[in-house]
Order: sequence, then structure tokens, then C-alpha cells
Amino acid sequence: MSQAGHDVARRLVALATRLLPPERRDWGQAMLAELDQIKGRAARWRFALGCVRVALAPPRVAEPPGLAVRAAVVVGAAGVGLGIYRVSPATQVFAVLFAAMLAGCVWMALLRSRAAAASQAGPGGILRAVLLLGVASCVGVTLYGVVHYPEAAGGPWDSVLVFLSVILATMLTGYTWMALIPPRAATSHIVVVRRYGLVGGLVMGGLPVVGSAAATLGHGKPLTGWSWLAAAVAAAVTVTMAARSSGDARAGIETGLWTGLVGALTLFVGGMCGTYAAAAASRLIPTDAYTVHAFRESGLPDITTYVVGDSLGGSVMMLLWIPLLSLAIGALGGALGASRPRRTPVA
Amino acid sequence: MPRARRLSPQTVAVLRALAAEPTAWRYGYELGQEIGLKAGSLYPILMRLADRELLEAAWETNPPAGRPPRHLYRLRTRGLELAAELAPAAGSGRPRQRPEPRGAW
Repeated sequence: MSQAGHDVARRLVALATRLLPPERRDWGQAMLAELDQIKGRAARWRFALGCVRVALAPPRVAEPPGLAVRAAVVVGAAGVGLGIYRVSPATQVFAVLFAAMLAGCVWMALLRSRAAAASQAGPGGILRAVLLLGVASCVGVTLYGVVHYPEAAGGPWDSVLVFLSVILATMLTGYTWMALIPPRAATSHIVVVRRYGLVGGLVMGGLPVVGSAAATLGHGKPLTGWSWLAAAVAAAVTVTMAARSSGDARAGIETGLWTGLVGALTLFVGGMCGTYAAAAASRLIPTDAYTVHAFRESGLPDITTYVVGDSLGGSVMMLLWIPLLSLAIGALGGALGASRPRRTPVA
Repeated sequence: MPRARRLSPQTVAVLRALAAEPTAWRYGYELGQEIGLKAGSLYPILMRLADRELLEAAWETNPPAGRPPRHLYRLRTRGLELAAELAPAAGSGRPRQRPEPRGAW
């Protein structure tokens, strides 16, 4: 850009950009970036004046959702909450919180309008569908556990259950938010993220599930530890490849985040299904001293119920820490991958 | 799907220009130069196309060294379908100008 960044035309466009409504600001930045590439004073001024015209009278964003749509959001969320509560009254805290936050999430998605959503690339149909399916599946496997192992959940106001309910409702709403209206900071390299994040997440989440299943089937507990290590390596390879393909460390960070989201959901659903299957087959009999001791301290009627409850609680917390861990891996792998770019830009 | 008859001639020109290279990401200024639209007309059209989910907009992921990333545009599947619907009327509208080489300015 050289000295162009300091000329009057640029300042004019920068000022005009501030006049744009929030949902159009991205377009203001786009016009500013274009101006930086235009040579010639007259051409720059023509372009700048056009930008000012856009800023003064930008196209209106899509109309806010009508009454019927708003009512459908409220009724739909209430239906989800009531449905969860009817399956298991013990989940009342989760049901109320999740329904309320889900309604707020969908409501915000509608209010932000299609304009805002379309001006920035979203996660894409497949990735979005995987996330939403994962969220729904998490609710499903949680309810299964609470219904079939009610002692594991305790009473509806059990402090641990309330704590986990708050975490679960918050995390699942957050995942839904990421699927519907992800922040721009997480989607600036969405083309790369779509390519690597989904596969990386499925591999990252699937490996510990396979390792755990193998251990349950009697192929040795060490496999569980190795599978976690393999999952971390898979995430590292994924983010490094993403950063290398784009030549930007930020692509690695973003891929790390999305890999973590998909991975955590995969691990939650796959891990809990494996736990239920093992429990049903009476293969869920841990022999390590710590688990046996913790079971005796818990006061639960049988060790299977204890392990199911413990797995469920652990899975809920994994929704929080796996994306954080994957984000950290993304930062490291991104820096590594971006230091050795593979090819030239997309455009 | 938006109805073709509601589109302005300028919007049709933008759709056709983008549909000429369906997979290519295009810069806004270059696109405007190609079809003879000034920024004040082009960007509102791009915004509306994006609003209607006909256009995909993204930031350049790996700009050449020394310059900031630029916004890129290409048609979504729905946009390509709409452009294809408009194709039979191509002869009756404004003649499409020959695209200039990418990055000529």
C-alpha cells in the first residue's frame, strides 16, 4: 500500500466505514482493502466517493423475523425443554437452562439477520450439520444415562448434578452458537477449516473411543493411553497441515478450535455409547484401586452405575477442555505450519 | 429462490460476470472494472446478493507479501443456478464486456 494508506481518500473511506451499521462493517473493511490496491489519484477518489455513497445509504439488511417465526422459536425451545423434562424430571435444571439458552441463541441468530451471516462465510453445511447433530446426540445420550442409571444422577438438586447441568447447557448452547453464527475471528480461514477441521475432529474424537473400546474388550488398558496420545498427534498434524496450506498461523488456530469442537462431540457421544454398551454387556468392571475406592466412597448401589455417572460427568467436562486443548495445539501447530508454507494463495 | 424478473440490469451483469468463472474468487474492484460499475453501485449489489445467499464472500487467506488481504467473491450454488436461468436472455441484455486479465490494475 505504501503511502496510500495515509491519503485523504483513504481517510474518507475509513470515516465512511464507521457510518455503516454493525452488520455492514465487514463490507466497509472490504472497500477499504480494495482502495489500497487502486493506483492513480483520480481512480482512488472515484472509488472513495462511491464508498461514501454506499456508507450513507447501505442496503437495508433483511427484515427481522416475523411474529410467527419468533413464536416458533419460543414454542420450539419450550418444547425441547419440556421434552427433556418429561424424559427425566431429574434433569429439570438442564432442561430449563438449555431451553432458555437455546431460544436465546436461535433468537440472536435470527436478529443478526441473514445479511450478517452471509457477509462472512459460515462453517458450511456439513460442518454445521455435524455440530448440530452432535449437540442433539449429546442430549440424547445424557438422557439415556440419567434414565437408565438414575442413581448415578442423584436427585434433581444434587449439587454435582446442578453443576454439570449448568456446564452441559452452557457448552451445548455454545456449540450451537458456533454452528449457527460463529464469530468472525473463528472463520477468517473457513475454507481451510472446512477442509481440515471436520476430518481432524472426527479422528481426534474417534481415536480415544476406539482405544477405550479395545481396552474394554480386553485388549489391554495401555491402548487407552496411547489412543489419547494418538488423538493429540492427529490434532497437531491437522492444524499444522491447515496452517501450512494457507501459510497463516491463524488458520491453524481456527482449525484447532473447530477440530476440538467436533472432536469433543465425537468423544462425548462415542464414548458414552461405548460405556453404555459395555455396561449392558456387563464388561464395565474396573479393577484399578482408585476407581474401586471412589465407588465405595460414593455410596452408589453398584460399580457400573458409578462408572456410568463418572463417565457422564467426565464427558461433560470434556466439552469444555478439549476445544481449549485443541486451540492450544492449534496455536503451536499453526506457528509450525505457517513457518513452512506449502503453496501460493487461494485467489 | 429469488425471481429473476426482480433483478436490475446491473445485478444481472454482476451475476453473469461471476458465473463466467464459477469457481474463481474475484476482487470487487476488478469486477466493477470488468462490467463498468462504480463502487457506489457495485457494493450494494454484492451486499444484496450475499444477503440472499447467492454470493459467497470471504477474506483472502494468503495475500502476497506486503499487502493486506482483500475481500473475495464468488457465486454460491443458488447464485449459479440463478445465473443459469438468466443465460437464455443473455442476447437481449447489455452486451457483456470482455474480462480484463486478473490483477491488471
